[in-house]
Amino acid sequence: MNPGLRFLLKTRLPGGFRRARRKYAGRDGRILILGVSLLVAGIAVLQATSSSFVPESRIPSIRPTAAGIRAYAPFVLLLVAMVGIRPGAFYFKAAEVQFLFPAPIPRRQLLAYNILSRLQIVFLSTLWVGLFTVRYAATWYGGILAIFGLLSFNQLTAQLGGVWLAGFDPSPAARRRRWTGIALAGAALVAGFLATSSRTPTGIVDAATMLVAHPFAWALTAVTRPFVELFLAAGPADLLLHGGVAAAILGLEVLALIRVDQSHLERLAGAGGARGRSRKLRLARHRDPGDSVRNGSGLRIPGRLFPHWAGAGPLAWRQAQELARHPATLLRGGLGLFAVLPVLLFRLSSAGQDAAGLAAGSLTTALLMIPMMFDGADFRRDLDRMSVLRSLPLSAPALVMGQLIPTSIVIAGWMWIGSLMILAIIDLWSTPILYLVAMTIPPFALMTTAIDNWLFLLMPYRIRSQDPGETTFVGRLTVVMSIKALVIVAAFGVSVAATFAFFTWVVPSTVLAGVVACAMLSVCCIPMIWGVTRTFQRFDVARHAAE
Amino acid sequence: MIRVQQFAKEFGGQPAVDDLSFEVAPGSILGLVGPNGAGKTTTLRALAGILPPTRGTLEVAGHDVVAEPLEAKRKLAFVPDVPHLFEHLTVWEHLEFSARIYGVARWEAAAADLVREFELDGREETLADELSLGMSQKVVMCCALLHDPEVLLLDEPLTGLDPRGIRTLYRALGRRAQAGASAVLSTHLLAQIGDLCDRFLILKEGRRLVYGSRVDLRASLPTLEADASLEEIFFEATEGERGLGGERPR
Repeated sequence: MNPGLRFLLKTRLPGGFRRARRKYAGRDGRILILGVSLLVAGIAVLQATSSSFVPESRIPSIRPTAAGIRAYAPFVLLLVAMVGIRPGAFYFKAAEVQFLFPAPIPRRQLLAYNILSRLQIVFLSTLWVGLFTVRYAATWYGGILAIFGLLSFNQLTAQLGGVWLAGFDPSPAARRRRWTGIALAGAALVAGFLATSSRTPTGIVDAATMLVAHPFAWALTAVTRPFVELFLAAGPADLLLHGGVAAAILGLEVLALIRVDQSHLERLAGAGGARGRSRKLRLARHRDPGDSVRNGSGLRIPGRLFPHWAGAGPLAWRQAQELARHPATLLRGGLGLFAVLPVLLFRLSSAGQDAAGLAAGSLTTALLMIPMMFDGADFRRDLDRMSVLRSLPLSAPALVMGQLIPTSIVIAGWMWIGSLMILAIIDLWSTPILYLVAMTIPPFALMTTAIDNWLFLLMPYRIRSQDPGETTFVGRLTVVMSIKALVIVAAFGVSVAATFAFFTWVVPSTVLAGVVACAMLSVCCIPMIWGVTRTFQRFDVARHAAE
Repeated sequence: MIRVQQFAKEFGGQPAVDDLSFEVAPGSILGLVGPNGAGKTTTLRALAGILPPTRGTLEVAGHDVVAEPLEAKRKLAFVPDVPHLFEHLTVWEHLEFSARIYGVARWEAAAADLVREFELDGREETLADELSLGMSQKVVMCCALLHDPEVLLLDEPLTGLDPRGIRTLYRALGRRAQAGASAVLSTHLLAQIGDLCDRFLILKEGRRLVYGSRVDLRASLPTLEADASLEEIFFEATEGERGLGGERPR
């Protein structure tokens, strides 16, 4: 390999740590690092000792068993790997394109560097994910190996799938044909499953249980199964066998990747017409290509729908336009739900008696995840426009509200859909609950959007993959989710206590209790909005935003 | 030496550059000018081996960029319009990285000279994301010049540079040209390249409009005065009478 590529690989992790150390050298940075360190230490202690908090008799019902992991994990992992795929050729950072493409380096070496540099990050992600999961493995080293293998599998599968999909005709007609084919194949699969099943499932949970036991399902998940077996391998022979198969799968993926490689700028440029081409090339040069190649729909939202509202209206209109023109951003919320659903089904089928607790946990996870999927129409998309935003003659609170409201509305919509789905699955469908959900979700959506933006302005780094299958954001995502969970639990605690007190001592009315819950959550939004406003005012454009 | 013959580049069936031919002799600096979307960056990127041509041949220092990409790339340096650096590397590490990429032995002395020349001394241990745009552009220039390339391709390299930085860049380019290097400089700052470049190529919508020395350009546009400036030549070539008559495109 070219010595320059080796140098880049060698310096990547130490250089990244050095950069973080310098960036957080100030007082605020030290406080942040201390907070995150305490959080990680707390998670580690909780993970190491969690069984002691739970009565022994209940452990089997709430801890995943080897049989449960063996049955469901291959599905969940396959689904996660598939969700990571989106069309796009090999992704190289702008600096890599600038320095490496004109340099005398063979293309294969570039690909090898690309894969190796991402596997370095996978190693870090492994340590982080292992913190939460390795206690379920038969041995810690088997667990770490399996997690590393799985994350690598996700990375390589997403790259392979992305490169493969990028080779398809991007015209709308071809896309329609492709989706029709996928829908027909899905229908054929379901029909085949029902036709070959010994009995009719009694419900969605029963259907999930039957599905994982079906021989076809075993064939479908053959690629993820060796990693799960490695995770559960207790003896050296099993470790060697499953580790060897897992390594062979990864090796085959690398070989396939090198074979189907295509020039990423060529694909980028070829994905649209003349007008789109010039825009995409310009964006590809100036911004992260992974984020810049989305096709806009050209939809126009009438500006009159957004009155001035002290300046918040035009900003909200701009963000709404951004959302409307990129329907993929709108649909991304659904991914959060689909990511939670298999986990929920898995847990329900193995521990049906804990339905209420599981519902609460899953609901919270879904509600926490959904806002994470949207970073397309608020401060998180406007990092390179911060100078412009700061120069607008608007009050900071109005500007912040204009930035947050459209995303909050979309998130509220997805949260309603997600809540209804989960309530239906766990059979908690009743008018008072539906009413409470309807009342509390709008302020809750605004609160979560505000927290996400607040944390982003404090630490302006992305928490979503920019490269298919890339996992560098996982650590930051978990930290952000943990902080968010703490804040939400506090806000909910205040809201529930006030609602309960009102219901018990003032008026025992569900309608009014809903109003009180909504009002309390709205009050809790105020410090969040204040926090975003203050952080926006103090945001150091010179340090964090590109000119 | 740069030789481009009947070069064409299409994106999704749409031509970005069409039937373009020109040469840059050793010691010569070509000013590549044209309105936005004329195909300047595409031409430079194709010459640098970043984009493959749809048709035609591109030669750098006697090597075909498509047939012998590694040989051609060893001889060239490419400076883009917006500098993108590796955020985890310092200024000095960027130079070390470039030296390793191109196999430059005993690079430290040359790197120190470049750092001094581009007024980056004292910034050697600064991380890339702590640099201003102009400083970043200077780092890219230093990296590009470190392996003493025979061919320099500069795509609007003046972005963010202060007047002294621009002067330093011009002097460095002039010295390289005197030493026998060929250079292509794409820019919109016509007034500033008149004295630096000895030949000019004006593109519009991917096609060559005029090409040659300033005298050649004036001769090819008979409506121009004998002392017409490069800016007047540009407007006459790209917009005809509209450009010279004071009526500017909307």
